[in-house]
Parts: sequence; C-alpha cells; structure tokens
Amino acid sequence: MVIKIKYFGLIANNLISEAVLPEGSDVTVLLNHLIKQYPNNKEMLNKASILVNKSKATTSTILNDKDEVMILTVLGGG
Amino acid sequence: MLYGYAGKMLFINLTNGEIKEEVLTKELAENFIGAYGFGAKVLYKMMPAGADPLGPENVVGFITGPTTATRAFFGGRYTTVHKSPVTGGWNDANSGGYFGPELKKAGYDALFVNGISEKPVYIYINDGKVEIRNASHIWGMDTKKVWEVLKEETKEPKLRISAIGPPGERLSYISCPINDGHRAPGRGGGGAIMGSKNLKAIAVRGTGDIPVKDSEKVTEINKIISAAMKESQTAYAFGTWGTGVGTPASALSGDSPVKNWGGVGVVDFEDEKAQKVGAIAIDRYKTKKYSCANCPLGCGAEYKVEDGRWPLEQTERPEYETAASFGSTCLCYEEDALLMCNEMCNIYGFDTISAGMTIAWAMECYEEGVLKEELDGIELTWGNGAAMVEILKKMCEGEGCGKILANGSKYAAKYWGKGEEYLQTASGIELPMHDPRFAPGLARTYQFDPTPGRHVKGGIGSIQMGGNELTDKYDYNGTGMFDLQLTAGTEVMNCSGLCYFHALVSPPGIQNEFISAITGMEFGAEKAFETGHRIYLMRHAFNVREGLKPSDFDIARRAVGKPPLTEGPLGGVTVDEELLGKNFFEAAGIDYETGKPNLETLKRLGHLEEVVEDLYGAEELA
Repeated sequence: MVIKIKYFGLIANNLISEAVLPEGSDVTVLLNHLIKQYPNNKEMLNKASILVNKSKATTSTILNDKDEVMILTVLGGG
Repeated sequence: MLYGYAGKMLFINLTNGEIKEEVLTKELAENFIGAYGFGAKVLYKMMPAGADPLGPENVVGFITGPTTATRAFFGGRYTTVHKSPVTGGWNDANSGGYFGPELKKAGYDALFVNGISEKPVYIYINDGKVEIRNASHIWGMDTKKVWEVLKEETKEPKLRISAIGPPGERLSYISCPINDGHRAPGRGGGGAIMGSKNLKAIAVRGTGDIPVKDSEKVTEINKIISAAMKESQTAYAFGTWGTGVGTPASALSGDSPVKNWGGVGVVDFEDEKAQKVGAIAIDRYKTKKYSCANCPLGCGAEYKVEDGRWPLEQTERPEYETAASFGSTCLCYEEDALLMCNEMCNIYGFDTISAGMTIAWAMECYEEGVLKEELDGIELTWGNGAAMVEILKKMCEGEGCGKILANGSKYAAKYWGKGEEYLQTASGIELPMHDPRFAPGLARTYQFDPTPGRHVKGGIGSIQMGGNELTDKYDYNGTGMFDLQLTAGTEVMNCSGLCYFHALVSPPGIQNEFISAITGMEFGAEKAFETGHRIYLMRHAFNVREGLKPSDFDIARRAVGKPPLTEGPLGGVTVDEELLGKNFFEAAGIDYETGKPNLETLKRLGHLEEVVEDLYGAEELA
C-alpha cells in the first residue's frame, strides 16, 4: 500500500513524500521505514506528533492504502 | 566579594529623587539566586499589601542573575518584576538582548524603582554613576527612536536601553519596555508601570568585569554545550530559522491555539496556510543573524521586507509566540501583516501575545455580531491582515477603539460590557501560545502559577509542550511531585539568568553546574530543588498577602476543553485543571483552600521569615 507523508517543523521537507509499506502496517512501521533511510532524524521522528488523515494517531494506529500521514515536530517554550 | 555578582543593588525613589545602593548579601544570593528570586524578596519587603499597581508604592525591578555578564553560554537575560495592573498580583517577565549584561557590568545586580516623578525622566547609569535625567524631549517617541537619541545625547554608542513607547506612557495594560530594539520582558503590563512613574527609559553603559570563581570550569561547560549542540536537531533548527520554525507544526498538531482557541488547526488553518507563517517561509527576508549576549544558538534574525503592503527597511524575525498570536489565533496567513504587527509591537512597546490575542478576541466578537460600531467601522473578519494592522495601529496611537483595546481583551470586554464569553485569559491576562489541551500540565501553570498565563514556568507542561510524553499525559493522578520538581528547576533557571532554550539543547543539570562554577556554591540537585521551591513560595506569598486564594485564579474554559473540541487531534480532550492544581499545591506544601503555605514547609526551606511572621505570627520565629 502507498502512504502519503507530509512533514512540518524541524524535519526538513526533502524527505520522501510517499512510502510503500506492507498491508496492515502501523505508524511504527512507517517511522522505522523513515528512520532507516534518515537515521539523523531518528530523535525527531520518535518524538513527533503524528496525524493520520488529520486525526490524532498513536504508534499502533493501523495505516490503510492512500492514508495521509502528517509528521509534526513540535517545540516548546518559544 | 561574591563570585558571580556585581555585589550591589540600586534603589531609586522617583518621588523624592533619592538614589541609594545596598550591598548584595550572601544570604540573598545563596538562597534566592537572582532575577525574580531577589525581586520577590525585595518587593515583599518594600511594598505594602494592596498597593495600587499604578501608584507610587509599586516597585518595578530590573534584575540580573549570576550567569549574566559572565562567559556562560545562554546567560544573557534579565527579569522585570512588579505588581501587575492586569492580574492584580505578582508579575515577572524576562528578556534577552544585551541590556541585562550591561546593567550588571555597570555595577548593579538589580535596579528597583518606586515613587512617581513629577515630570518625565529617564535613569542613566554609567559604570556606577547614576543620574535621574529629564525625558521631556523623548516622551512620545517610539522605542527605537529613543535609543538613537539617547546614544547621541550620552555620547555612548554602546549604550543599552530598556524603554517604553507611547502606549506605556498612556498606561496601556499590555504595554512593555523594549530593550535592544526588539527584545522585551513583555508580559503583565510593565510598560504601564514605567509610564505611571513617568519613567521613559533606563539607559546603561557598563565596562566592569564580574568575578567568576572557576573560569576554567565555565569554559569546560561551554564546550560540553557546544558538543551537544552539534548533535542536536533542535539546535540546528532554532539556530537556522528561530523559534518560528515550529509554527506550522504547532498549528496543525494542536500545540498552538487556532481561531481564538475555538478552532482546529487541520480544519481551520490548512497546512499550506500554516506553512506561510512559519519561519522557513518568512526567512527569505533574512539579512542577518541575531544572537543575544553569550548565546551560541542565535535564534533571532534581522529582516528587510521590500515587497507586500508594508515594506520595512529593517525589522526582526517574529518569534513563535508572535507568529501564533497574530497568525493561527487570528486565522491570518498574510505574512506581510504578521511582519508589520511584529514591527509595530516592537517600536511601540506592546506584548505581542496579548496584542495578538486581544485582536483575536475582537475578531470573534466581530464575527459573532457582538462588536460592530465599537470597532470604528473596521471589518475585523477572521484572517483579515489589513484590518489586523489597522486595529493594531489604533492601539499603538491610542486612537478610537484602539484606546480601549490597548488595555487588553478583559478590559475591553468590561468597558464595552460585551464579549466576556469569548475571553481566552488566565486571571485576566491573555493566554500564551501553547494549548493545555495538547500539553495539559500547562493548565496548572497558566491558572495557578503566581504569575498566571505563562509558558515559561516549568512543570510537567514544559515537557509535554515539546511533544514528549513520559507518561500518559491525560492521566492527572499523582502529578504533584514531578510537577513541583520541574517547576523548581525552572525557578532556578529563570533566576540564574539563563535562557529557557539552553535546556532544549544542553545536557540535563548544566544550569546547576554553571551556578556552582560561577558562584563557588555547592549547588547540586537537592539544593537546586530546595532553592527553586523557596523562590516559588516567595512569589506565591506575595499573592497570599494580597488576599488572593487559589479559587481567585481562573483559566478560560476553552483552554481546558470545556466543552471539548469535536474534531481534530484534540477532539474529545478535557483537562482536569483542578486536580492538577490540587496535586501541585499538596506537593508544594500549600493549602488549596486558603493558599497558605504550611508552617513546616516554610521552616524547612528557611529564609522565609517574613512570610512565617505574616502568616503564623512572630512567635513562630523563635
């Protein structure tokens, strides 16, 4: 299945905008897929707020084909 | 000699012109560190309960910390303290730039001003020489112009000032002093306090050195921070784009409020719009990086705006709080309007959070038909950048509806007798730009901190607002002790003169190491916890003496999800702010009903004799 990805905040926008994942994958699978390609972004990917189709998601949220995932790296104290 | 301090505090009474110095005592330095630790102790002694915030008895303090004007990275801040005309209680706010270090190098850890001058004056401090000077010729000037004139007048091109603009002179409740042209202890009406005293500016020039106990250790700590920063994505992002780098993510995640706290980012403020008010987009105007004193991060920048409706030859990058208050909160993604509002707040001396939030409140009132003719014919619709600029200009000039709105949303609602249901305030001050529905611990600090409505007061919310979730953040049981520990740590940080951002990019415990190395004190985790707790109680005691109880402190219902949002990432979230408050007060040794700190806690922490005497009688001091 194909997942669309958008990034906001500290993670630059030059990361992949689509990921092909096995059916039944959850958010953890997606994050690990990204961390494998972009190990320097591991810290931020692991603490990011995740929305799936504009709703709050957790690491165990199951993804479906054509879902849109927003990866939001939020900072405090600004 | 006290290592880490200039060793003197300056007191000026503007009613009779008295100028006097006091030696900074070892007891005060060791037990209250600096900044508002000193401030709470001094104001409790100097001010009577019930003092009129705009009267001669109110004291405004400008106070540094032990890291200020040393080589310690991030140690460039100073703090203002006073009783607030907005909340009616204790107020502190801090600022970066170069004013704080200059004051300390001029010979003073702190300056406290009371009384009221008959005529406009400014205070000039130059390496221990202190004068109260006529300010009639600069009254009415904006904060950048005042700086130019005073540099010329004093023949000191390196002069630093903290000055108010015309709104402060008119006693606007949301006005503030501005230092270095664009840095501000913005919150709580400090501009009005200076204005009420006919005090236009503090101008300082200092060339002294601050004694440091172990300079080599300070260098070593700086190297540790440098190494950590090289590995930190946060440091890279803040150093490259500033705090506004997080604005789009905050709007969409629910971290920042949207549409006067009633909207949902992913619904009302679509991702393309959110990106427009983020620093990555706006930074195309950047001409130069800006760093506060001794800061290795440099989250500021200068801009030149040549296009759009309001070209600006030289202005500054908006901070996250500013971008969110005028951006997502007003549903505005017009970047030229955002930049113009930021510039106006800087040169006129407005708190950008309260200014943006007041306009957001007025926008909702306009859209709901509550305010119409009151707004002088301006169509203040959601996201209307031109209307936003027009309203803010009126606030800056004190003209028409701007004269009312310049006192903040709560004042305006009361004045017009309308719109109270749309206020998003905590004890009267507009809420800052991190949402307790996203970081529920903030509900406790916003509502119950002695300085309400602040996002820089630590507690569990300070971790949650960065997106970290050590435990289930919506489980409100047993939060008290961790909340107190994180609050005490922040009290120490704020009082040391360190910037909040040092904690985002440095290893844990660095602030205690800096304090130890600079002052020579043994300042481990246990002493830090006790000291932070003591400082908190000193601020809290100021409010208790004013007759304020926990039940007198409130927070807007929307901010705690009452009722909850029905969609988006925060849909269904309700925060139990009362339980969070009870948990914290119990851990801090404070009675939730009366607000009184218990005697055992006061005695255990020590150095709070005046509080013990006022609350429990002099016999308890024996």
